[in-house]
Amino acid sequence: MALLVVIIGLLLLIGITGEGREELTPVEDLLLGIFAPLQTFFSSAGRQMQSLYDAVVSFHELKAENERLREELSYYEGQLIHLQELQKKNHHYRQMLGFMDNSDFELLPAEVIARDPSQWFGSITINRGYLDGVTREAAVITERGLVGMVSTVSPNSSQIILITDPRLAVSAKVQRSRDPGVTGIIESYDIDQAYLKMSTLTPECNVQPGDVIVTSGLGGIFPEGIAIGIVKEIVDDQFSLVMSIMVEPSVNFNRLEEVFIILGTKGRAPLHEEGDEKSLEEAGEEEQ
Amino acid sequence: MVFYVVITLAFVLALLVEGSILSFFMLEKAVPDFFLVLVISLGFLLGERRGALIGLLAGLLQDIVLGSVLGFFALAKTLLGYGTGLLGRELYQDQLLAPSLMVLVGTLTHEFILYFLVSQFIGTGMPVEWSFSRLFIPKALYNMGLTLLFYPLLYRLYYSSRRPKVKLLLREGGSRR
Repeated sequence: MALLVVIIGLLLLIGITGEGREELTPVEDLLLGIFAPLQTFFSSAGRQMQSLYDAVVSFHELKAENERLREELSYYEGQLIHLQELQKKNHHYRQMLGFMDNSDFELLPAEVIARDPSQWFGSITINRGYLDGVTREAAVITERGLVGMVSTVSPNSSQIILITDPRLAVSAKVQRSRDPGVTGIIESYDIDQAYLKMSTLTPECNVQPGDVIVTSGLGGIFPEGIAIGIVKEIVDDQFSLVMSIMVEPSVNFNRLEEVFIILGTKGRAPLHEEGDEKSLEEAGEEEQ
Repeated sequence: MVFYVVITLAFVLALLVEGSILSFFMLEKAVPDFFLVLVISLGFLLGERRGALIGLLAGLLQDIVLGSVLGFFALAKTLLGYGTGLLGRELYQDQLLAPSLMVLVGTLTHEFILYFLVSQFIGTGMPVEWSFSRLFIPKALYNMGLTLLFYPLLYRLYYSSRRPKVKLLLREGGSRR
C-alpha cells in the first residue's frame, strides 16, 4: 500500500516537474548548494584525467599520423621532383620544337640513352634506329651546334661518334671570313681544357679569338653552316707551316640529353640515302 | 549506523564520479551506474522495505543533482530496490551469482522503466533497439562487473556491522535461559 502511494506520488511529481518549474524547492537548493563545489572539484579532476587520457591516446594516434604523413611527404617530394623534371623536359621540348620549326633541316629528335664509359665522351647511344629513318653517317646536332655523326644503326638505336672523338675529323671554317684559306680540320680534343683543336689553317689567315667556327660543308657528311664553337686561343707555333686554334665547343658534351639527327634538307632529298655503305674511316677520310 | 554512513558516502561519491568524471570519458556511450548497483545490492541485502526507501532517497538525490525533472530516477530505483528486496529473501546472499544476475536484469529493467517514463512524460527518446544494443546491454554488463567487485565488500560491511547486535541478542537470550 505504502509503495503504491509512493509510486503515485512520484508519478505526480514527474507530471508536475516535467513541464518545467520557475523555482526550485528549498531542499533542492540546499542539496545543489552542497553538491556544486564538490561537482566543481570532481569535474576539474575529471577534465584533467580526460586530458591525460587524451594525451596518452593521442600520442599513439599522433605517432601513427606522423609516420603516415612522413610517407605521404616523401611520396609528394618524389612527385614534385618528377614534376620539376617534367617541367624542365617540357621547356626543353618546346625549345627543341621551336628549333625544329626554324631549322632548314629535316630533323629527327632523339634521346641519349647511353654513354660509352670506356672513352672520354667519345660516343653515345640514342633511342632512334633505322626503323625511325636514321642512316649511317647522318649528322647529329643540338640547337647549340654540331654533336657528331651516326656511326652504327640498329633497328631502335644508334651509336653516335662525337666530334671530340679522335676518330672523327670535321671540315670547318671561320664563319666571319669568306676566305677559303680560313678552312681547317677539327681533329682532336683537349680534355684538360675542354677545347677542340682546329688545324691546317694557313698562318696568314684572318682569324681572331671570339670568331665562330662552323662546318664548311666540304666532304658531304656535315651540311654547311652548323656551329661548332668559338675561337678561344690561337696557338703560336712559329716552326709549323700550319696554324692551329683552340675552339670552345658550342655543345656541352657532358650534358647531352636530347639530340637531332639531320635526315635531310627541308623540301629536298635526304642527305644520306638508305644503304649508303661508306665506312666510318672512309667518311673521315672524305671529310679530311 | 556505520554501515549507513558508509553507504551514504558511497552514494555521494558514486554520484560525483559518475556525473563529473565518467561522463567526460564516455560521451554518448554507456556509463557504468554504481548508484544503481548500490541500490540493487542493498535492496538484496536489506529487504524490500529498506530497499525501496534507499531506492527512493537515492533516486531523488540523483533527480535533484543530475536531472531537472523530479521522480524519474526515484520511481525507477524505488521499484528496483523493492523488487530486489523481495527476491533477496528467496536467494542466497552469500554467493556472488545471484546479486550479479540481479544487477544484470535489474539494470535492463531500470533502463526500460526510464525509457517508458521518458517516452510517456516527455515524449522523446532514442530508438529502443539502438538504445538496447548500444546503451542498455553495455551498461548492464558494466554494472555486473561492478557488482562482482563491490558486492563482497558491501556484504562483509553489512554483516560485520550487524555482528555486535547478533552477539548481544545471543547473550541476552543466553541469560534469559
